Amino acid sequence: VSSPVDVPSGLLRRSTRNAKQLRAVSRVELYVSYALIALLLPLIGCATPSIVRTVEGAASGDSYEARASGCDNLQRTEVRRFVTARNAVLWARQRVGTAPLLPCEVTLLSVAGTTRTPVYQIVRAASGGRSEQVIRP
Amino acid sequence: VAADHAFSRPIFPNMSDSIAVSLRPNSAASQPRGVVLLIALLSIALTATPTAGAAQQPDSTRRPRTRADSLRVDSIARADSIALVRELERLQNEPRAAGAQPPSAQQGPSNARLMPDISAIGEVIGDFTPNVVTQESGKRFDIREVELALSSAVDPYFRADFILGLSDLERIAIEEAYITSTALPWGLQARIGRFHMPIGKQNTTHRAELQTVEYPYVIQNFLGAEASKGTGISLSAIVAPFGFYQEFQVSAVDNFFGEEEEELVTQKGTNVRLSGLGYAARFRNYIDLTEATNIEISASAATGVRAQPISCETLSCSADAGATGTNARQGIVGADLTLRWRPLQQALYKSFILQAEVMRQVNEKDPDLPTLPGTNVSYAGPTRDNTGAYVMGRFQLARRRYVGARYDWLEDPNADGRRFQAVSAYFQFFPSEFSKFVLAYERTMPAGSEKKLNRILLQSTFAVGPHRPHPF
Repeated sequence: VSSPVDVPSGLLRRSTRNAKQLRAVSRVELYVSYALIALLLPLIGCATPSIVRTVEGAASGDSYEARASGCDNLQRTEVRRFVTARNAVLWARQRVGTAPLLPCEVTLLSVAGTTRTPVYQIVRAASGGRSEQVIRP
Repeated sequence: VAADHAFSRPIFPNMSDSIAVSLRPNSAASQPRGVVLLIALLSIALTATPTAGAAQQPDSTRRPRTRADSLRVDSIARADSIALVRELERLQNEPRAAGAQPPSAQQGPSNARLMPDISAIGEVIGDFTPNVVTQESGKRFDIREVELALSSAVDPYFRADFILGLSDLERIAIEEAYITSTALPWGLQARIGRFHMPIGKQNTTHRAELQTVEYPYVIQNFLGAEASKGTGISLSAIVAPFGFYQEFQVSAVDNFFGEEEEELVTQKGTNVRLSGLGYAARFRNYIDLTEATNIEISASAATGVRAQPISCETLSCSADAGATGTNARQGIVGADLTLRWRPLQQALYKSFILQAEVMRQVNEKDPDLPTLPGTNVSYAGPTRDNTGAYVMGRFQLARRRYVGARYDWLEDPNADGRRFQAVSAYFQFFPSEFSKFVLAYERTMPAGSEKKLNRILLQSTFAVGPHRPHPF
């Protein structure tokens, strides 16, 4: 049975070789992706700041409320809710690190029902000193 | 009542208990009179009722024998009276202890808790550019803008911010007016109203609070001379799987390209379809390198539809003919980097900030054109994509003095993408957190035969209220 299309044998060989090369490349990309994920997974576990675990241990609430004061150009009191202590602590550090005005103070409160308990505070004083502490009830 | 207890304890050891009890104020209104009465009674107490304990102390209340003694006793009594008044003032100013009664309505404004924070920032620009005025108003000295800011908590769930811009050119403009949620679950925060679009870094900053006199040219040309604002909704979520701060912001607004040119009339509004709204996303990454140094790397993207001009072959396009423009999609993608350094020991005296931003404007090349009777219509809007960038640094020399420099590079969308460059240097002086003076020199270098300019600007910014023109 003759082929309906007469494909030159050289072209066929070349396209087969290209397909093999493409498969090899895609396999390499896959391995690189796996390697990256394998590298990142332990990083995710280790990357949690150690103070977060102390904050979580200080009070176990349903959520956390962060209150920043004096940190922005309007010197507003910013309030934001967080589910995890990690996000709350990272937000607090970010707020203090980018504050145009000092002093800037962020306090985290553990929220359990209607009860709020201060658990963490980070302050950048007007003189520049930075202090971070876990507040134990 | 704690304050009353404070009043009831003997202030001076030789004051009798009976007198001390009589010093309790009956009401806030009677306090000044009470102080006068108190001084009078103290004088009596000092001269007539020494206590047993006081007998062991030097007696300043004995009848003086000589004129010199009399003067000495008078001066001691006066000093005692002044000390007593000061002590009373101190006690009055002390915060009341737990359980203290709230102050009566007569002691202050009845609506004190309902008053928002009110601020005003004024901006005066002096233009000393030789042979040409480079200000939009055409004036050498001008109040570029006055910003009036009101801010307050609305209820336990929202905070409201209003920023009005007042200027001779625009009269009163709503710069921003939004509410921000404070109690959304899952760490979300929503903003509803008009706000600076979270596209790039400096676009989110008010002009009066910039490090420089004007926005970088890439922002002026791609997003508007006064930055891009949009009216709609914005949502932000914090994601931190890698142990550093990451924030994702998405916004949907009616339009973020600012005011469209009045002469551009399109057959359909840009927002007739939902896809014609303005959408933006920003992904922020913040990392503390040390306690004194941090870095912020972000990426932004935005897309929207705006009116662009068309040209007609046989007759000029006009609003009477049906249209002078058509809707075309325009997008912005960009990345920015900010490095901040503020030492722990000398934060008041030393700091450094390095900022760089790059943006690419992506234009629709072949939009749908309107059909006008008796003429062929062609697209006259931008048909190429343009890129722009800037890099800026500012170093704090001393507590009140800063120096900075910026380099701008732009494919000018108003000049067929021809290259435009500018370099500028700044000296900033902050007499306090509430006022700022900036002396700026800028050399603009357009491509081709266009004239290069040497601009010299003086900016004075001053604020009252909590709003301060202090960027970092």
